[in-house]
Amino acid sequence: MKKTVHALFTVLTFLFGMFQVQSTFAALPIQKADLPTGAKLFFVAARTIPMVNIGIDFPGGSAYDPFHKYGVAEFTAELMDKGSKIQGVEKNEAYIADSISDLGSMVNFHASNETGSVRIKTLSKAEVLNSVINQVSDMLAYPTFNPKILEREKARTRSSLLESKTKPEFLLGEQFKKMIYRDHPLGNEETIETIAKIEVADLKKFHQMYYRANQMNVIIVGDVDFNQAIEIGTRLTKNLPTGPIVNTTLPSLMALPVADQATREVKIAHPSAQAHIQMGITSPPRKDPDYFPLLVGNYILGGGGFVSRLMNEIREKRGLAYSVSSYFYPAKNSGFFTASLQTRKDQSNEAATLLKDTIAQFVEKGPTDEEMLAAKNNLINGFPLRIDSNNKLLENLSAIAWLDLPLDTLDTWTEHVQEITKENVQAAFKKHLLMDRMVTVTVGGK
Amino acid sequence: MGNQTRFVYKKVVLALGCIFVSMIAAVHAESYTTESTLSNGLKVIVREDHRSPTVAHMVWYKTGSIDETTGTTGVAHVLEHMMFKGTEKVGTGEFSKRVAAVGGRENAFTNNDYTAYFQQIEKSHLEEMMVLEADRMQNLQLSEAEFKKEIQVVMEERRLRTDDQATGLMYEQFMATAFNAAPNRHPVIGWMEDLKNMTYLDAQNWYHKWYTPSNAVLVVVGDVKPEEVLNMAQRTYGAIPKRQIEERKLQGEPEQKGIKRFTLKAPAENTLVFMGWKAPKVENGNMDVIDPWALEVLAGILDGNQNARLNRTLVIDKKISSGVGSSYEASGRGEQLFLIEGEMLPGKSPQLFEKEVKSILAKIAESGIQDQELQRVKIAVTAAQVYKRDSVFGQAMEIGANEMVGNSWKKIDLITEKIQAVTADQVKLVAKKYFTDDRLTVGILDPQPIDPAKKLANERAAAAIQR
Repeated sequence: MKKTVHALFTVLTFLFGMFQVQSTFAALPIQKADLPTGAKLFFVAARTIPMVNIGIDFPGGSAYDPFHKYGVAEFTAELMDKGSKIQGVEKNEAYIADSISDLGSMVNFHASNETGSVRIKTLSKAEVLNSVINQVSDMLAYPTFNPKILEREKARTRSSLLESKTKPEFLLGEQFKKMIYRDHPLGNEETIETIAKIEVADLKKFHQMYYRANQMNVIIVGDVDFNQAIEIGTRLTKNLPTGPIVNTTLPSLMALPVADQATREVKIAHPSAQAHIQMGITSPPRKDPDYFPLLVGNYILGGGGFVSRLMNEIREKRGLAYSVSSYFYPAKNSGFFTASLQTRKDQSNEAATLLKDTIAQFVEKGPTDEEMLAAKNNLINGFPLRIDSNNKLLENLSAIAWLDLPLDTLDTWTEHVQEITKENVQAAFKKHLLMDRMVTVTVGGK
Repeated sequence: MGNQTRFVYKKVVLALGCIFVSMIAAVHAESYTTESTLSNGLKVIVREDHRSPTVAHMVWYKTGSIDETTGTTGVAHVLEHMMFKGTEKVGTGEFSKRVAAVGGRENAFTNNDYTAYFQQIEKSHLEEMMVLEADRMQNLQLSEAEFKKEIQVVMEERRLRTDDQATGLMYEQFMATAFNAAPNRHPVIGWMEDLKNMTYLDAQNWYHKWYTPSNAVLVVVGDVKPEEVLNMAQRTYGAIPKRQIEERKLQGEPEQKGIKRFTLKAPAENTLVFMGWKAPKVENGNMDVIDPWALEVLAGILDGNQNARLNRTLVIDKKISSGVGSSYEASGRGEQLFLIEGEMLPGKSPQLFEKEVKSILAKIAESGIQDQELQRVKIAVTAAQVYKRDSVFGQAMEIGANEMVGNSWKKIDLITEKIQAVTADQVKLVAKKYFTDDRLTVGILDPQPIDPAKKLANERAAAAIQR
């Protein structure tokens, strides 16, 4: 067995900001191993609470849905806990739900647009942990995919899609994603038409192709040691499907083109009291060197809660909205920037103009020295809050593993923030937030 | 599933039961939590959690929407917004800037029973947060100009959370129908008309009435030493003069005498049904009762996992609903309801849902529950005691919320023990005792199309049938 152990206990000390605060952060001892099943293990020991959080991620999200059968990834995940062969015996969904509850554990299968995922929360008591791992290992490998259950879940999804179609926030998000992703697989969305075509054979094939050990990251944070973690990760992934290698590389997402305003704006009528407005543009993936300048800049523009420019202009100064914010979503090989708000119908034009102007002005003129200092103070001083629970650690590790980031990413994070200059921020925003390409969706506007 | 498997399965459950019981002893909270009261009446509760160098700092005021009266509903929440608008020393917007500068995450929330303010910070900034929070506990400056802007923000919040959300409107209408007199009948965010008529003086009166150390509890959880926290609290909050609040007037609810029903029309696709029965609760922190704990267990029996009785019957077997849930809280300052709600699948009538829910409850009232089901609920409660320790903020929330409803934090473990002691017979008895039609309110969401043309066509069709 190959083991790559990165156990760093460096203590970093910084001086920064107007407070001249001295902060010490003990670096995270992340341990990594290549498991014999082909899966990769990422582990942090946390021995204080008798519990273990486990995550599994793999390329098996809706981006891999078969053409015009959007929804297969989600239904596959949905049916993973609704029947499987456990220790060689066929068990139904009732047995699975109750046996997990009887252990005091929680097991959840999920598909996003990029990944298929499992999350397990369990007590670390040996008997409990052992039983949960055995059961989830079999659930992952031997799902039943009962056709009657698939029909039931399709009917539920259909009803929930019909409901969503009446909600302004859903219509907004759907149209926005359509304009950002266009026909890229990351924009695959299940619809009433696409789910009607899905059959059990599609789920079986999807499971066979994408639930592969050699594509999986297993993340463990909790009350076990490294050897136990290796054993758990191996057991969870040992019976998974094998076969010819499947190419999971996605095509790159093309940047949005320059277009005239009329083609970049979509308005959808809705009888809601508020107009929902969202604008945005494609942006670089997580590994891009502009990640940190965009992170710091967005804190100033619309990420910094009550103190951001958008919040100040739209809520604090004018009372136009309850919530207004912006964020970058830097994914593995793609990304987008978005800003959104909701406001009373008759103020929608005023609010949309303010949203656009505030962004445009920030891109044009960049942040002030004072804003840069405040942003760095917040991000650096607040860093410990990003990793102060096992659950938060698990999700950070999951991101490091999925995005293929260096194992010292969390240890060097505050240094990277500290290095960013006002000029870096302005250059990055000018490069990526191109106002003549930005798209806008309004639902329920005047 | 064969008989033999079932037998083995039962043995496993019992064995695990023992593992869980032995774990309770190890998780007692008293050992790392301390409580003191400053001379001005502020209660200070500190829990040590040294896993990370972070702290949750919360101030809880024992005032919420149930302390409001008709005409000024929503004022508790409006004041919560105004608390960020500055004091003599800390200008408008400055509070948030100072919290942000030390890397803090902050917010506030208002509920029926309480209003709370919090910052999550790296531990070295705790005293600065206390200085800020103590300042706005006594020196808030409420300007008419700031109020006029902020009340617009609150109205936008109401539109977002309630007016444009069918489920939000349903819940609001449900509480307003179930209760005739008790203040649980009005929404925490307030009726829109009351928000429109509210002035900065309403907010000011509210502040003077409730915001004083003797009506507040300070909760600090994280990588701290209790004696240091107490010293800081003394230096900051301790300087605020002592003041007694006026005696609270209880606003009770007369006994319901017969089923209540309503229909609400709102833009949506699916029919929703809400059913709620008036239920008892723990009174004045007295834990030596049975029914509230048995009702908590019943909620778990009905809705504890995907195979619990509601989901099993209504979603899996009979395919009436796409989703179903139940909720009940044993503790609260106001009135309590046992709620069951469901979203209908196309073509399934609300009457069918109501009939099935009543039959599920009647079956428990007649035949009781299985030991395995009871054990399962108790295991979930015990495991949750372990999992909750992973969140510093979650621990502060649990302590504060219990203090506000009259349960001391010291009784949090006792609550778990009380739930562990509930028997199958007690669950059967509460199912029989409280789920009568005379205590019941049923609300139905009648979904309306969002397309006005379609709406008009529907109305014409309905009118044609009437003629």
